[in-house]
Amino acid sequence: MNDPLLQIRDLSVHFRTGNGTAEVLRHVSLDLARGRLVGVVGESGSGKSTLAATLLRLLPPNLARLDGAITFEGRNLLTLPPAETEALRGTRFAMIFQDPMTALNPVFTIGNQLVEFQRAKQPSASRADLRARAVRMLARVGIADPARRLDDYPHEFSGGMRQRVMIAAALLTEADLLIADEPTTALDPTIEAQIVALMRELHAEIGSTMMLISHSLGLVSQLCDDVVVLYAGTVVETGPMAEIFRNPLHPYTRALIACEIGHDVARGDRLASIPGEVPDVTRVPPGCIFAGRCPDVVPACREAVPELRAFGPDRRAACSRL
Amino acid sequence: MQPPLVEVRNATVAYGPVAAVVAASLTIEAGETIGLIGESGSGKSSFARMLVGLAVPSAGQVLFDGGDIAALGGPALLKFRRDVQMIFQDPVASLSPRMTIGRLLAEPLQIHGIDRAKAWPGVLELVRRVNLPETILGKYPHQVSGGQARRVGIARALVLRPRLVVADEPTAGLDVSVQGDLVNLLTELQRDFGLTYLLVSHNLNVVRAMADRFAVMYLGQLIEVGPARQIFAAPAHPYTRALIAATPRLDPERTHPPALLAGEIPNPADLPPGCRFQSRCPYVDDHCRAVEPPPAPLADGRIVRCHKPLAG
Repeated sequence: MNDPLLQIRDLSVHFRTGNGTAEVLRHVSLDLARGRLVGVVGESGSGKSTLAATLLRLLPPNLARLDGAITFEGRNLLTLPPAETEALRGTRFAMIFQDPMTALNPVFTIGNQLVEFQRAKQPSASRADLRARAVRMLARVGIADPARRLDDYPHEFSGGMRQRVMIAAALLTEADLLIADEPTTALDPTIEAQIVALMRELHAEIGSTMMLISHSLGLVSQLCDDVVVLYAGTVVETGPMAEIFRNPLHPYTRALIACEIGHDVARGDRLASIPGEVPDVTRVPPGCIFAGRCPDVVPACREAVPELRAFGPDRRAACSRL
Repeated sequence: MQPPLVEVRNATVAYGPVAAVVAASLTIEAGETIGLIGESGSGKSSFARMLVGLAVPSAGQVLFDGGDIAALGGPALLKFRRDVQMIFQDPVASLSPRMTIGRLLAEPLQIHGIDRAKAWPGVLELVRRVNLPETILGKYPHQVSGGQARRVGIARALVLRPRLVVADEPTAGLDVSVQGDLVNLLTELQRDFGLTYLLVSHNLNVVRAMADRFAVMYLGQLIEVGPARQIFAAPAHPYTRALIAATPRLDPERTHPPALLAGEIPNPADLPPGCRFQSRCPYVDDHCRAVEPPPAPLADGRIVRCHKPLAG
């Protein structure tokens, strides 16, 4: 993993809440390798959406603490002035949201918005040129009759088509890093499969670095090169996708995989679950964050936070029992 | 012979010019579990609402215990409303935020004029049975976790000891770590209380762990109905096949790339003549574009709406 696009070091993000300070991300260290498709998996409360929001510096006003460093081209994104981080959004970093209606403006045509998305990077290009690029990109993501559809408003597209428009918009920015937060969650399975195939194809073609945030291990296995497993604000395991899913190291990763319902399930089969609940991150317990639900826990696990240690060249896991 | 618990006969539910359910027929035997599968807009929620009497068919009938539910009145209607319960998708949104869980569980008893003091021990037993702590009775819906809220919704549906339970997306939005517990619980409750289930979902795998038979909907029509085993071994309708293939699976070797459908779901207010699946079907021909396939039995007993079924 030479020359990563982005280096995250010891990142901690805390929020003020009614119940005290929520330590939503704690000491996260990660490299995003250039050109790779990285899947970030974890359940609700794992901090995966906060990680995306931190990269884009779109953090809510109740931010209590922001520590560590995110290094991009030699600069620490966390200490850049707001104007500079804003300049990076939409030019170097782009986001594909779960619900495209939150990202597309309902009162402007798709054409108008696709032109504006490109403007930041191409301030002097003619409107006709930018529209022509938009038409080509819409065709590329599978929108029929794209030149005519430029004049349509977001509500005139179906859910699957809007998500294609959103992907086209993100790609038109030619960003170095594309972050997709649950991009297919709102879509039906047959449409989801189409969007996943499209994302894989476009990633192979364009080669930008992509971060896919998802709770679906199935989706991540279909799409990603690398996997990051988050649990209650900490990275518990990272590595190449196939290795993680074939041979998971961390007990949480193993438990999560066991919860996947196989294609041979039949009526009456008992399904696996993970007993207990995700810990309250306003009162982070000492020791390993997974200790309360871990089937392999020993008393020492409740004393010291396990370090993320290397197991082979690309694999790391945070479990003191490995 | 006992009549089936539910018999839907050629029923249509229309909202203005758009029919959400089109000439659907389905029988449900007491004690069985039907998985009703379809994508958004397929009409599966309207079908479920029709079974519990919340949507009225504009044509056709729904029989419960042999009686047309549209003709029920007085005590028979009250009994139907006890016998048939619905578990809603978003339990927090479907429960009044201003009532404690305890009051929410007592409310159905009150509505049906059941003596609360007599029925309460049974309610407490139910709370234990769905693995909720008794302390939850004093809490409000927003104070409980997503998994607990589902259990409250289940307990509330069972307070009146129904015979048919219709569950709309029973595990949607839950983390996988708690989803299995909920599915196991529903299976146990079915056995303990002799329930009949209609489970509505777009997630094939979750329903597969519970259903005896599947009913697959596409644009308002039941396009394939049959035993789970037959349908998963060899889907007969091209849409069923695509849906099974599209369901994401953990597959690190990538040996099962999802089969893709081309095209889009047409606008239900502006359908072409012929088969409703024609715009996405890989096997479509001129006959499919001209003539709408009727529901027809295959040799193995499945009912399929397709001129050229792939199996059976």
